[in-house]
Amino acid sequence: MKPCNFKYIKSSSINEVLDVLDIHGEKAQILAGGQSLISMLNMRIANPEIIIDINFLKDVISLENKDNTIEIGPLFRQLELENWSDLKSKLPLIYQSIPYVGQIQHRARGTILGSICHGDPTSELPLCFLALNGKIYLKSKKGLRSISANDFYLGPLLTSKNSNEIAIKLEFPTKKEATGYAFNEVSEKYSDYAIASFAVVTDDNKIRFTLGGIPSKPTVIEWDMKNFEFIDELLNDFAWNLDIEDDQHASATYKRDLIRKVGKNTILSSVKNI
Amino acid sequence: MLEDQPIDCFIGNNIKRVEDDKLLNGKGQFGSDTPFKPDALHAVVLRSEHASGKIKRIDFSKAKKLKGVHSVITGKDFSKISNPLLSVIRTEFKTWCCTVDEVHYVGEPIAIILATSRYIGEDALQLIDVEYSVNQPVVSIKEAINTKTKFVHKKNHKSNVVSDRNFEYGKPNKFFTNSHKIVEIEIEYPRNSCTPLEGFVVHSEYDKASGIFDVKSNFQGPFSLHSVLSRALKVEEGKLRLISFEDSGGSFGIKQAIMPMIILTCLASKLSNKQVIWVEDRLEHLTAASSASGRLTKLRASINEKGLIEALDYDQIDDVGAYPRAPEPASLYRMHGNLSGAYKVKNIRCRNRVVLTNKTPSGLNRGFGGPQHYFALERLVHQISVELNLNVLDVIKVNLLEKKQFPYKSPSGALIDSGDFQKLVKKVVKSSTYKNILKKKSDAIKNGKIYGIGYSAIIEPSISNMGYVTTALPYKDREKTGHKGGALASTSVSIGPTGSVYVTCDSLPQGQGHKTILSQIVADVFGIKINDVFVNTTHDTHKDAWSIAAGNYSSRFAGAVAGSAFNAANNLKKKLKKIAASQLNCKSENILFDKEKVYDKKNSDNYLNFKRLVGIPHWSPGNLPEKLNPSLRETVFWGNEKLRPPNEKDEINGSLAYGFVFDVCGIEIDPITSKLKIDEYVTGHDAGKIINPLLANGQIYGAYAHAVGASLLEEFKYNDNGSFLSGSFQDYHLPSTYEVNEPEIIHIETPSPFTPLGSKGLGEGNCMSTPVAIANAFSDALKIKNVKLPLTNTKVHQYLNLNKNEKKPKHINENINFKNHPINGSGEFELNIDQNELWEKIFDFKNLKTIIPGCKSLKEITKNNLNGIIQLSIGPVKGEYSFNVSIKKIKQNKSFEISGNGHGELGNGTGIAKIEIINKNKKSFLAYSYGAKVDGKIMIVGNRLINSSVKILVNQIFQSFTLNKSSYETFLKKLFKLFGIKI
Repeated sequence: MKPCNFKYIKSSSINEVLDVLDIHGEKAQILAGGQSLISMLNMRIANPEIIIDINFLKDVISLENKDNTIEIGPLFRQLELENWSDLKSKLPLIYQSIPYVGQIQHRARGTILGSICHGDPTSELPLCFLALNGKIYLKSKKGLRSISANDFYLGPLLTSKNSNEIAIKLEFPTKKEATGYAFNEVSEKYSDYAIASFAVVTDDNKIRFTLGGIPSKPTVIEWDMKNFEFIDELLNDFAWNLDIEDDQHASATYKRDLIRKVGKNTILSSVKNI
Repeated sequence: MLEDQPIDCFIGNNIKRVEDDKLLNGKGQFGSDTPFKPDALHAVVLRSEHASGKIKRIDFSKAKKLKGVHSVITGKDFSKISNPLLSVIRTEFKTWCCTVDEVHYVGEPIAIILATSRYIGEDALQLIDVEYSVNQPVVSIKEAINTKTKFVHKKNHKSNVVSDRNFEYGKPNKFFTNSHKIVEIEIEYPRNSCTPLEGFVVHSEYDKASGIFDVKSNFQGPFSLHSVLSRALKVEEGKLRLISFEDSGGSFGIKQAIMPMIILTCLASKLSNKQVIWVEDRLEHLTAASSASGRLTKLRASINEKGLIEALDYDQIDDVGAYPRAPEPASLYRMHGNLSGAYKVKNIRCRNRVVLTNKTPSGLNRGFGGPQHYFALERLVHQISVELNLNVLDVIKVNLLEKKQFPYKSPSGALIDSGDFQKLVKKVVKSSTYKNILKKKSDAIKNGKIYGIGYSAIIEPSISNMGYVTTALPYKDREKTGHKGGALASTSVSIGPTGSVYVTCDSLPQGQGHKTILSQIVADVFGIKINDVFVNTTHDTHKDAWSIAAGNYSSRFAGAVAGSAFNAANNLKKKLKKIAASQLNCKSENILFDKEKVYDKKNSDNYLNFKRLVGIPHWSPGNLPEKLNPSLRETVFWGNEKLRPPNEKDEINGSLAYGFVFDVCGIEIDPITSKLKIDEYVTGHDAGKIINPLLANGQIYGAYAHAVGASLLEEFKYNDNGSFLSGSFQDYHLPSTYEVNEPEIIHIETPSPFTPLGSKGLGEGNCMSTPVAIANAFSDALKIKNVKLPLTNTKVHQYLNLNKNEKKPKHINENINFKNHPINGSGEFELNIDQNELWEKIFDFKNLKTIIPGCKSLKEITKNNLNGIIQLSIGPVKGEYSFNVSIKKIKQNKSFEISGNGHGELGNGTGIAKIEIINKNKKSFLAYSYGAKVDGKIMIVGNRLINSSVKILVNQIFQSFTLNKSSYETFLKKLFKLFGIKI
């Protein structure tokens, strides 16, 4: 459990990072909080040739409270967000989910953007990012583009971020009027990888239901509020359509049952929160 | 016990650990903090990726060329200069520490790389190419017993059963043929481990001039293994010097399993002429260190109408993994003397079998044999109450041994020293926790909640008899090899010229608080302060006293080692009394030690300071009375004659002291999440005299936490391939403070008549009593008989039988092919091109290369047989793999099959896929299904991501076949980007 040789580059500006990524993007890996990357390096399942440490970047935002959005920069730690006094009123979904993100030691170091870009299918923050349909800003030498959470996740640890890009900003839409938010998670033990996690946003018109842990990426489905009375059937159909398989920690039937039962409870509590 | 005990004595009080300031401030000197020579070499172990197979070829050439690599040593090289390991059970095959040509479990050492740093060693590891011919492994006890074709050791073996013994005590047949009722239970106990914070560390150095192997390691006994080690190294005893590190990050027994790596590093040092360092990492520890044995037990009881057990009939099968490595099959025999548990039953029949499986060899682990044993016995007691419709507590009470029976000789030979089981049961039943549990259950019934209550009553053996394991051999064989029995513990106490007292012992601390306990005892004997006692717990076989029983295991510290310290201090005290008597002009029996002074009992003004008294033999040894020897150093080897070898009737007193544990727990199950929650738990202990209640409770909390892990979360899992699935803490789940509730602890103290202080061990009891108490509560809650640990969410869900109501929508078709492969899937795509075009596209192998993401080369070697190289990345997980595939069963424009294998840095695999072109509703579809098996590191640490990644990859490849040219190109671009490949 010792990493391979790699070249370590400590960057102080985004432009510096972009220069490296432009030439070596394929072989490089950005190090932010390191809570997933370092153990993957030690186990040698990740063997990048270059590590770009962005912890010393000077030209990045931390948290900015805009009219309808909260903007978060690449080095804002999960614990900083957890301790932000307006979190509950502005981002109630994140407020509910963040205690499930690892343990407090992980959150002290782990960054919001890092978790979202790592795209672990069991992670809480990517799921909430999708539930809120936030936006992520990706910068490369060629320019800046933004992409919505709906289009960001492609598979396990696979996102639409190109290897020559760095995520420099994230936008979460703030709490809307007459909208309910709820989060729930089932795992084998506290702070462990989710067997199933649920983030739900509801308003008078629709139920936006997102599921993590079970599918290979955070997955969203929307239902019209008119169909609320058929929710059991809708959840069952959704569960079966996922083509869920047994794994060593949970059977397919158990996972489908969680979608039906815990999924429903999460929807009910989000409706209650409207 | 303490005669003329000081008034404010330390024994029996909550004394805070003297060890902790240093440890909590990061000043501990653990194995990895210990310096080594600047030119030392670091050993890295090449381990088997497969559970069973033959090594066809190993290519070390690239690894050897790497700068910093000193040498690579193979099993064959080691075997030339060493002996195989001795084992208790004689086998036809040899137990090498590093395999010579076959592999028998995932993680088995194949070779050692010596390099100037661990980093370089691990680089070299990746450059080694091993080719295996893989066999189907034996992965379960039932399979091991029943198979006629699969054997763990192929060459020398006709059966996986390496030991099969039958025992009979009393007249079991009489009761089973004429019984009021027979109750039976079958249990399966999983493999797990107690996972200490610190893994194995060893620094070995061979001195050519003296021929001595100097080994610093965190080996912590039993020192009976010293002879196993020296024999394997082909040296006489004195040429293997074992030295301990100063501090230890826990063991719970498992550090015993460092033994093979002590041998390999010693031999590596001999071959390289350099000091060799090896530090085990977590991945290695979980995969290949050791494990508690798995157990399958069928237990029957003949019962009378009151629930009294008249006879027991055990059929026990222990899974010791790929080798019966010494001291196995001790797991099966540690409890042999107390097969009857805490009960009166007089008649016992028992069949014990030891089987091999393609899994890591088992070894010492907290509770050692007890969790497995009591899981069967206490589940049976619960089942008796169910089948006879009696209250469990009444069944327990009817069967428990009574106070007047002690010391009690059990049918299979345990001499249970003392106890008052009824008193402890009464005290537990009176506790507020017990009352809460009863109330919550009756409330739960009213409110429709799922709640259960479980009990367990066990005796906890401590201070193992070194001879118990030989019960595995028939009496005749024991006669031949010489009878073995007994267990010595030794401590040395010495006093310096100005009153500092020094203590060393032959037990190595693992967190029990050796320094605190020994300071308490010695300070009390001499009436001095705790800080005047200096306990050094390092051990060196060339300098310190030791016996084959030395070491820290079988809960022997409080009863045996602390007792020997007490005796050693008292021997010195006798001498000091004589000196004091001559100085104070009084009789030595009137001398009293208290508050750093030595008094004449009859006249408290007539005294000497302790410091002054102990200075006399140092400063004027000639002036001692009665020609006393001036030595102020006393070494005591303490043992007890009650520990005898097993006799001709196979009766064995396996341990010297037996504590009693009585537990009750209440559990609740959430029907939404299928989570089992331990609601309330009360644990009652009678461990004789308690030296320090604070530390005693610490031991109980620790064992309880381990037991909660074993009950709810922990299991070493292997799939049908024998692939190991629990190589990191992301898959091997340990409980944390969130999962472990605080049990109420209740003590009574019935001193042992056989140990110097009346103390018995108590650090393993809950590992034995708690898993079965939880299982009994679960059985009570769901009214089910077969309970298998660990009770994870998904298993609870299965027991709740919730899937039977599951409604499958009509449009869902499940993949039925390859369901027996660990990785499998299927899919279907509508064709956007015609069938001929599709066919051409697939069989145009040049084009195929452009379709498979990351395919760097693809060559047709013979007709329809291809090999190539593929580079894949899933996020930061990047790897290159070479593969061979062949295409078979080709039916033009209809169907074909692909099978193949691949291997690379992260693992290797085999796979098969079926492809069909089908027509329905006037449309054509490409339908595929596949199955794959993967082994190697990616399976051990990353298996949670494999299935979904393979699914995406396969899905995308097949979809790409079905597209027409224009959509195909955009699709490919997207696909390649997904897998991190530049186009």
